[in-house]
Amino acid sequence: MSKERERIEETEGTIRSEFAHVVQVFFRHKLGVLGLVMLVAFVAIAIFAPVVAPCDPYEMDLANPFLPPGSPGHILGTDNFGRDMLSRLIYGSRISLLIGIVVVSISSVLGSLLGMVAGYYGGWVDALVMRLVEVFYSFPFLILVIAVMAILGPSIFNVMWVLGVVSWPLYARLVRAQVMALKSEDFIKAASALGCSDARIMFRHILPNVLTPVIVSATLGIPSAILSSASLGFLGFGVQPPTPEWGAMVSEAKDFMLINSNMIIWPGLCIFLVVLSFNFVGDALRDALDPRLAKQLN
Amino acid sequence: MSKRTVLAIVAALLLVSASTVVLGAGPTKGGTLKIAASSIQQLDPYKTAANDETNLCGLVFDPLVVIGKDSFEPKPHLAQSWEMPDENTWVFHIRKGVYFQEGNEVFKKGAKREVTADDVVYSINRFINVSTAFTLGPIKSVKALDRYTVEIKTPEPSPFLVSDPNRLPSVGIVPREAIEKLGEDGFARKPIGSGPFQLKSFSPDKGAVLERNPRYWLPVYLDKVEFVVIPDPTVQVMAVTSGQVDIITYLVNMDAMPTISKNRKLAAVRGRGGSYRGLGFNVTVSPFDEFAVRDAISKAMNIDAAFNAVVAPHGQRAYGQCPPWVAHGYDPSLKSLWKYDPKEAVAILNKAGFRDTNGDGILDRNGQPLKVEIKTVPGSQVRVLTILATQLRQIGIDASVVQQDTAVWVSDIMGGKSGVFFDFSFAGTTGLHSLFHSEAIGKTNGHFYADSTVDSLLDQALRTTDMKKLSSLWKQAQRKIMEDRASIPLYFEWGYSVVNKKVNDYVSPWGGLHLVTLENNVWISK
Amino acid sequence: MTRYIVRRLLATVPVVIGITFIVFAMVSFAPGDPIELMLGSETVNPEYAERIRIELGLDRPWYEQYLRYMSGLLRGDMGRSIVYNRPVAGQVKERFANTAILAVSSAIFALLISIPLGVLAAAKRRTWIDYTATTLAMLGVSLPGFYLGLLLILLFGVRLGWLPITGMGAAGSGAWEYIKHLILPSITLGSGMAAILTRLTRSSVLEALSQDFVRTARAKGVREKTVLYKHALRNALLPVITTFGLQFGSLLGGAVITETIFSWPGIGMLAVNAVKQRDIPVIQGTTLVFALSFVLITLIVDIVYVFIDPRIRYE
Repeated sequence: MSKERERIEETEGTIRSEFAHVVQVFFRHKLGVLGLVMLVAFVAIAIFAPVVAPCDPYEMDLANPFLPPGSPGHILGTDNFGRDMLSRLIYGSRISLLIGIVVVSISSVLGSLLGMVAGYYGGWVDALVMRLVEVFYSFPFLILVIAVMAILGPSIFNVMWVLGVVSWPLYARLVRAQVMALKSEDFIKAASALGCSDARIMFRHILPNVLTPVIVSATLGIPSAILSSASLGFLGFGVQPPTPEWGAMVSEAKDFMLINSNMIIWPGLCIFLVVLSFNFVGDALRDALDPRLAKQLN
Repeated sequence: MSKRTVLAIVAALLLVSASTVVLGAGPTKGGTLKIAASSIQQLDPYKTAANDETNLCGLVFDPLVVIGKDSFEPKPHLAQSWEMPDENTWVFHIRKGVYFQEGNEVFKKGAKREVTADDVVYSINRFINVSTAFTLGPIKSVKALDRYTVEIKTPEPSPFLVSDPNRLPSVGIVPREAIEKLGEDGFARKPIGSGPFQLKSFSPDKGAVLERNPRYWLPVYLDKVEFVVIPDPTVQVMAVTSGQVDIITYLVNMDAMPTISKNRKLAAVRGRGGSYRGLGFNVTVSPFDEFAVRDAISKAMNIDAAFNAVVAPHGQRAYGQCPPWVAHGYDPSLKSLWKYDPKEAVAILNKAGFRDTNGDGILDRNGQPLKVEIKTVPGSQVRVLTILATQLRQIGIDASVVQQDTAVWVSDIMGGKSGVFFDFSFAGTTGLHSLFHSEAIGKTNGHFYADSTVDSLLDQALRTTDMKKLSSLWKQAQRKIMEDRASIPLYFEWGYSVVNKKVNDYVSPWGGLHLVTLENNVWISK
Repeated sequence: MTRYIVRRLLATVPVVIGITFIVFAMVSFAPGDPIELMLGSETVNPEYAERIRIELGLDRPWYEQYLRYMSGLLRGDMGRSIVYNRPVAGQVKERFANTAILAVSSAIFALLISIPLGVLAAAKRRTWIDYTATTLAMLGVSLPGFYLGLLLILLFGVRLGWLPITGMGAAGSGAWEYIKHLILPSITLGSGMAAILTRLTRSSVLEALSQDFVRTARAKGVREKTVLYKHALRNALLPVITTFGLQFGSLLGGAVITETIFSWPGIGMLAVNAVKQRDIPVIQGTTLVFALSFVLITLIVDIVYVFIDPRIRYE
């Protein structure tokens, strides 16, 4: 038992010193830092939306639609109902970030579990999970999602869990490969010889070692979840208006493209910036955590 | 020849040439007319209620009569004339020398297959059997009296048989051989009629190309008519602005009106008639089965404000279902039934047991929040309803607007699944009966409204030909329906076509699009 | 090699079965009565509903239903559309070519942009060309397809009026007209792929350039251009081809958005309309066709790969 603990402590020690190294490399990455700063700003705005937003995002001012940016009281102008653009964008950030984080939490947990089980047990379990992965990979992502949404009906709750459940295979494949490599390592063999239960080996010994690629993929998975949910909103299958969701806002603005392009520019730009900053951070993290992984993920 | 005569001739020549320049050379032959369409799936004229399909079929087929361009009167088309020997009998005299289109799988070039009374009988019978969208009303018999004469008998007087655009004017005459040879599905892909344009190619969701029927009984100026499928209303406007298409037959996106009226190349042609748009209730779905709830909702909304913000110059506020152009039903005195009074609305709801017990800003009763989900289809009403829903939120009703596809919207309403819905009707002649008679529940009465007084008033109205009596019956029925708050009238929308100014003599569709009739003949300026 | 191909073919069998099962099960997952989903709620007549239930075999146990569904598929029967009362197979057939054309032209666009750009960026590493290329690639990955599409429409369709913004153009209006209609949708659909492939080409060319045989060639005095194009590029393109195959699948998914924006009458638009109209058989049919096309594409990529890279035989 003591040997096992020693091993863990050793691992933790390496993790700690590695962490310092990672931080160092990360902060050398200029775009990564820029992305991080932007992300922190977005998250802060989302959390403090009621404080930051100048207006109620639902309140209409029918006498003042399509105000241009820079109008008094409306920095980014107003939409077709005279609602404050900036306030709607601010509240919209809550939905996008929430969806991104929840979706990735669901898919990474689900995918890692399945991948770990598949990699650890091998044999028919592995074959089954991997066939399932292949089947899921064969569906163009958005098609499968809208097909399921059609049957369940559009709502923010459905968007989150459907996107989450559909995007697990990436994590499963990743974790499985790592677990298979680790299985032949001495310390795992030792733990097994010492009579540790399978669950204990998987969660205490294997999991900490496969977390790195999962974290990197998850960071890169959030922006694609945000893009997907915005696409759903745009197609009208996601969050419904008048709730301020960026994708749905672009879709609404589309009807006024000829009169006013202001309405369409901002929400799209917000999606773009959030996704971009996640991608910057993800790239930097990947470089910092594991240069070898960079290739694998590409 | 004296100098004077020469001068006179020169002057005359100059005058003639000048006048052709000033007045334009008159209709010129040639050109392709491009029409935007939102969706075209099939082309059987009897199996559609979709605007675009009806419009296309209006060009391929000839009906007996068409609705006149300046009045709502039926005008001769395939039928040269008609008369009513008694109030239950109609006799139509068919034009001679009209031939079905040639050069296709059924009629080869030079077939000279004439349209006869038998074809009319066959068509009317087929319409009665297969029509999915419309009905001719009760028909007792249809028979050919001779090669060019058809007699229709109804069991009781049917005053709107010829003048309702959805009845005889929408029955294009079809050749029996074509349906027998091509089959029902095949005919819907390759329709053959006697109209001014014949189908050249068609692919669903993409479009269709029609070309001139060289044997048509009227001169046809256009070479081709092309239907371009553009599902998105905004993109339709862009396409007509950029000249990619020449016509939008029905403008969905009212917000585009300012852009269109500013464009010197485009004209907005006001449609004949228009539509009723309201907020309908299914009076059997809880809590909208309670009069108090419906009444409170009607008082909580500032409809004038919403109307002025979105529709104002292109429609008129409605206080009842019958529009001004249906003279026998229009009743401006209904205005006094409605008022905007949010305080009273709250009081009514409180009295009915709705209170905000959990402090979330939404009224509830027995733990159930008061939820109003307004189901609608795309159109100017989406914006109007969004404003109204925001107003309902302000008094504590959890209101939202859900946009649906037309087929789903109809199916939800008629299936009794929608408690509150966007209430739409082409405010024509049969409106009240089909919308509010108990017989029509689940078919065209999505309000599930059943009231014996209203039923009997409408039954009497259907049987009378005395316009004064009919008018009084309709107004009584309408008043009762509005007092019951089965529907909250919002506005009548005129409906516009958007037309490139190079297109001449265009008449907006009313029971199908007609480009070549005795009254109008579309041509394109060079 | 034949053995590998046979094995690869056999491996797709369980995947195809899995796909059909998921598509089949979509209706069973749905809350509520499948009959109501299939027929829409207009059908109030219970006798009719019952007749259809028996006709469709919905009264049988699920495995019998699945076998029935499969045997129907094998005969090319994907059911009938509720909304248009037409065979789904016919609807899909009419539109399949349109989606294929759009996907292929987007892929061509992506390849034409990404490979030269990626190679150039690698060759001129740490110059402004490299930075521009990598930045463009980053922007391309982060830009939502629908937003890019609308911006292109706004710029080229509305402001400049250079290109048509909707549909495919009329039949018989000529090749140039057709190509003009393809340009904006292809850019919209292909840009994401172009971005990914640019990054990949750049990194794999860089890696190839650092390998021994390249160093040897350089040491031997082979010209830098020859090194780049003859030695490095050939090796670097292998991973690009694999990724290209995989990305082609997500291209199909993106077709849903692009076809909707540009009213391109393909399967993606059919799928979106079917979802809006709750036309379950059409939703099933389009989903199935998308998935099977993807399987087919990966299969082709894998087999092509064998010919390009003989090493795979020994796997």
